[in-house]
Amino acid sequence: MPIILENVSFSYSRKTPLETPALREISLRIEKGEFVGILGEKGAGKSTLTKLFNGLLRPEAGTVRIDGLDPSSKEAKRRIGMVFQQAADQLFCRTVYEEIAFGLLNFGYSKREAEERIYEAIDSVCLDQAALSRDPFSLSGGEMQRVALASALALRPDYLVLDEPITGLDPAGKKEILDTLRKIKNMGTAVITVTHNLKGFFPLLERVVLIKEGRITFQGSRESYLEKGCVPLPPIASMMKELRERGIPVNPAAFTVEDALEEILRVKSAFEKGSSLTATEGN
Amino acid sequence: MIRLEKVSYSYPDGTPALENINLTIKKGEFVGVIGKNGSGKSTLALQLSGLLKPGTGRVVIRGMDTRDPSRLQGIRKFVGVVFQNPETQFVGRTVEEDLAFGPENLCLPPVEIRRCVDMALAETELEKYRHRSPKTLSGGQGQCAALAGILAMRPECLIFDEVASMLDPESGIAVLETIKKLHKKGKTIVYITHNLEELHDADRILVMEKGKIKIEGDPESVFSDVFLQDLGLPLPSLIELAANLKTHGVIIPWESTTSPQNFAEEICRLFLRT
Amino acid sequence: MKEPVFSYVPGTSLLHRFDPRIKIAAVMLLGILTFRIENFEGIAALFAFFFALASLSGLPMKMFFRAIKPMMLFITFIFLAQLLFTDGKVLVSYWILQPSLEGLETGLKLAARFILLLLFAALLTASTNPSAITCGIERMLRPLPLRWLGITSFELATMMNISIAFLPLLFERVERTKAAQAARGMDFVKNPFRSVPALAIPLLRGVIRDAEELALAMESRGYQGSRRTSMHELSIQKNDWKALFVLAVFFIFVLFL
Repeated sequence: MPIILENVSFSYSRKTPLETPALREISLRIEKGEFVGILGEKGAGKSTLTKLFNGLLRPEAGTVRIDGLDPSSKEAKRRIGMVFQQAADQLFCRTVYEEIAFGLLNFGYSKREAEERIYEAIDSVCLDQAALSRDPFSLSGGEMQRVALASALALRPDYLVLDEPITGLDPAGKKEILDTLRKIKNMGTAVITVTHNLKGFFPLLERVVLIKEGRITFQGSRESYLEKGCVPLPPIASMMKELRERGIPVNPAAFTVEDALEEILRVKSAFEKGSSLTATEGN
Repeated sequence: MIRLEKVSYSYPDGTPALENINLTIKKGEFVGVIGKNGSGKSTLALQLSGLLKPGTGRVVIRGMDTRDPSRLQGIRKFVGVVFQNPETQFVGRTVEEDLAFGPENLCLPPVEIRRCVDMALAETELEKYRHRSPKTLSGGQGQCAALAGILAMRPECLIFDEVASMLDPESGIAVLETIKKLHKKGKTIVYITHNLEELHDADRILVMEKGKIKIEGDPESVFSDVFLQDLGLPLPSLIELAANLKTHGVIIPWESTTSPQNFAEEICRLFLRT
Repeated sequence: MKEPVFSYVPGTSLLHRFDPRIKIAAVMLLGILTFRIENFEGIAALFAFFFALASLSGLPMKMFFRAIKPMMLFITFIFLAQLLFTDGKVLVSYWILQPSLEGLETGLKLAARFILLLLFAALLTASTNPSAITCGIERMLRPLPLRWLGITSFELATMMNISIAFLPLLFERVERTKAAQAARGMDFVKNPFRSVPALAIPLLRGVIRDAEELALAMESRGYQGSRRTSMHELSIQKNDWKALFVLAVFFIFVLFL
């Protein structure tokens, strides 16, 4: 069973003079095991959308169902793990162990059960078990974010919802988080992330949802998103698009350095073989 | 302009942040500083602006020693810093009011303050947001407003400490473009970042690691330095692609790696010739 | 997005051009007046005075009434409390509710007073740049011996400005932390002992970090806590004296009404 949103609308400060519409008639379906990127400008409604998934906000119209459950039910909340941009906004315990235990105890797991899950969670975010006894605030930005991820994963959610998980981290921290997310996704958990870092996330995304002024303006595979090219693309993807426009037949789905290298070399040898071949014919 | 002589600095808890740094920033230069978190870049920014006094060594900003309290206001007038988070840099309820904060501290007369504010608004193209609350601006506009707040003090040297790291890529590019425009108008720029991509046009790049300057040079030589990878600083993807192509005998000149358009054009040129 | 209530609307009307000190003093005087007067004539005169000033400001009337709207619930409550719980001649009797004539009178007066206060305050904030207000307060405080308290009027004014500027940031922080902990299953009602530190610790750390960043940014912009000037030129002009005179005449007129 998936996450299903049907005609969902939401406004902040409803029925007050400060009412501001945030989302309008959103319909969305997210299957188990998917990796979905929610893109859009600041204030487009991306973060509002994620808060609807676990009942932090309730829609004013339309329905949200998590595997058929009401999102504010305890079971639905367990199935949705959430991690926000700044891990520092939620860490408060003296050790990483207690930090991960917080969520588990809130959901009523026994100490023994919690312990087993804590070890499992710390493994799944590729942190050393020795880190469990450390002060979360002595960790690097990337490590802190992974502790936040672990505290969500300890509940064994089916969907992991992230709000700008790599913004503000340095390149090493970004890579740590992206590698961890790839692993989490491969273990079968759906990952839904709000991001504006296309370059970092693009190789991971399977599907892209673009939100503009509270409405979904695009929804589809990342390949079709590239074709449409409605926002600035990461440099490699943009370069490949330029090549195609100039009549060089490269695969538009190449957006990593390795892919691009392979594509260019392939085209190069093709050009060398048939020297009569011109660029336009090659397309 | 700004000279660091054998500057060392340790945090209050004893961990060293900078170790024996010698550095001169020349007038009109665009200096890029890059390094991982905790490499000492931000401490360097605070030293360069006199906001932090050196533990040992000396920082001289246009002949003024930063340890001399009577020169502080002179130093502030000469060099300004824009920080990472736009939200914690605003002190005013409207953009205009916020921009006036610096000139007010310099005790300028009201007419002069208005002139400074108008100039800073014009230079960052924020005139239409004059009466808006800075909190309602988008991330990129917010960072431009923070920059305008410094510009209103008319400094000659501007230091940027990871100003784009909280922004989406498009806003980051827009802010960087504004900074480059200021550089063309003669301002001295120190741009601190952990994104090498932003330093393509710098006059000079300093790579920091553990409180020391590890690599120093023009972008072309720094980008091809093998140590860069060891420091955990990924190359811009187009540069990496060019380097990989080179091992396969396809040479992309440095100038063509500046943008995807130039890169694609260069490849077309190469292929159509064969 | 809608303009928040009590916000400044730039303009060039006579009211906009008055010295902020005069306007602050006027609001204070009018405030005293609203609570001094006992009769409906006085209240009517004050309303008339408000409408005269509001039309002078050239701002749309409904803007001012928006300032009352969020407080309407409170005002209605006060009115009803007075209406129902004042002893006196009973108007109608329904169940245990016995609204009295005296209650109606005091209720109406009290409600009118609150509305007047809000309207005059809205008039001040709509026609005066917020920093001009703080600047005006700073100037009015300058002769006071604040030095004995260890602060200068400049610091006081900056403090006022910054705390107002920082409130929204603080609320945002609270919202963010609340959302993050709720997502980890925090239930404030069921388990307050675990919830309080879960909210308070990240919040405190965050606020301290914000304050440090802000202090650095302020220092970088030359703030020293000592003498500073203001963008707003404050000088009492002929018009300001005239306004003060009109106000004084009105004050005496209403008191004797």
